[in-house]
Amino acid sequence: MLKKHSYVERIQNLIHLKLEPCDNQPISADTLLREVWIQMDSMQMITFVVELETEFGLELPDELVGNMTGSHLTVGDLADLIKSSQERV
Amino acid sequence: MRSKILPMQYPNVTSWQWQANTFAALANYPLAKPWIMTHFIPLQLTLNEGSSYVDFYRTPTFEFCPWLLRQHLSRQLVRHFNKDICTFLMDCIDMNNYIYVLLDQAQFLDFKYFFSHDSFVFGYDEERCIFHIADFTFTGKYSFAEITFEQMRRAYEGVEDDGDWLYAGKGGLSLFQFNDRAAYDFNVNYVIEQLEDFLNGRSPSDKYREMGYMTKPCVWGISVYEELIFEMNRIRIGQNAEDSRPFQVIHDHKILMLERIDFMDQAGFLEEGKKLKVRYQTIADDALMARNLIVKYSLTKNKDTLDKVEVLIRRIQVCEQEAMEHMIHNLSRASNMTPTGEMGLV
Repeated sequence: MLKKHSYVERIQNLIHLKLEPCDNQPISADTLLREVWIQMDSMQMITFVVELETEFGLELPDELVGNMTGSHLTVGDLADLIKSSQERV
Repeated sequence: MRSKILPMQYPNVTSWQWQANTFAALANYPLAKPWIMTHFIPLQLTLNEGSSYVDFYRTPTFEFCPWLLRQHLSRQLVRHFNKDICTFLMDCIDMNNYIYVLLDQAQFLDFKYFFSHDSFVFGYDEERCIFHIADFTFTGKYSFAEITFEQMRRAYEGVEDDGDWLYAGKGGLSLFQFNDRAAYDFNVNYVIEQLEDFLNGRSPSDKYREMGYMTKPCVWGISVYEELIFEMNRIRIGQNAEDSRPFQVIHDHKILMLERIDFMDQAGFLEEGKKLKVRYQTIADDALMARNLIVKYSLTKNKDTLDKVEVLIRRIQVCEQEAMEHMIHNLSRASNMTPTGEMGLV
């Protein structure tokens, strides 16, 4: 089973592929998802969530395509969520 | 060499180009705020074949907004008095007119064939030979862009007189300028009336026949949600294609409602404005989620997503009914008006 940091790395790579090179900020496990989402328009953001679902073969919570303004979810939380979901399969 | 850019701000309403353009211009004129806050409460859903079209009533806004002085010119008239469309547009902008016009956007977008779309011209730079225009078509979301004089010439002339479908097929272009002689105070009684009509699903055109126009059958206010639930089923069985735009309008409606709550709270019309705002924020969040889930459905075609949207619509319907009843009750205390409908009897 993959370790959490491997999931974080895969998510980081997908984010870097999505964002323009000049927009690329260092993404860590502590980066808030809302800070990543804000760099995308809504279409890009929804497409990105679908790409994550395809990459990891799961369905992510709808919360991720909702209003994330007050959300405290981080890249690390997303990695945990994906990891635990895959461990359940 | 001359240049001029008329004031434009990124609007908080971006559902349709005629709304987005009007809001982008009006956002620069705070005097228009009481009028905006008094209107944009009724919603209508038009039952078109293959899709459900949702918009604010009445549309297009610029035709009845007292803060916009509108002059409409046919293409024949423009041609008669002006040899060169670019010179004409620059002169109009110099005289503080925004221009709403149909262009063949294939002349500046990556389209192989003729593509006519309404466009909003708000500035130019003669030295750089460019116009500033606004539309959804540049990036897929409402945005401002530049096109060259040559592109403008080809795009304007690329639309034939009888192929200009703007203004219910009458065609032509409209010039708008801010009307600083207008006066409009916030009308709380009219707001209450519209909220009651919304809850009763009544058409505002029953009262204001002069504002009516030819349309396919419509539903109004709270009934829009019931019809959107039917629409989910039509999408599910493949009768209609998914469309996020009705949900963008619903979301814009909630954004304006949040702004209206702040406005009425600050003006002393609402006693429990903060509480109402929290309730409406939840409704706005649900509307945003519904819109995004429809977009997600367009990518995945997972029908479970449509079930989730349906749940959200039902929740919006119930929550908005409660919030509006509360708002009417609250506003009636500050106005000289007794709620008329049974919805007002909270």
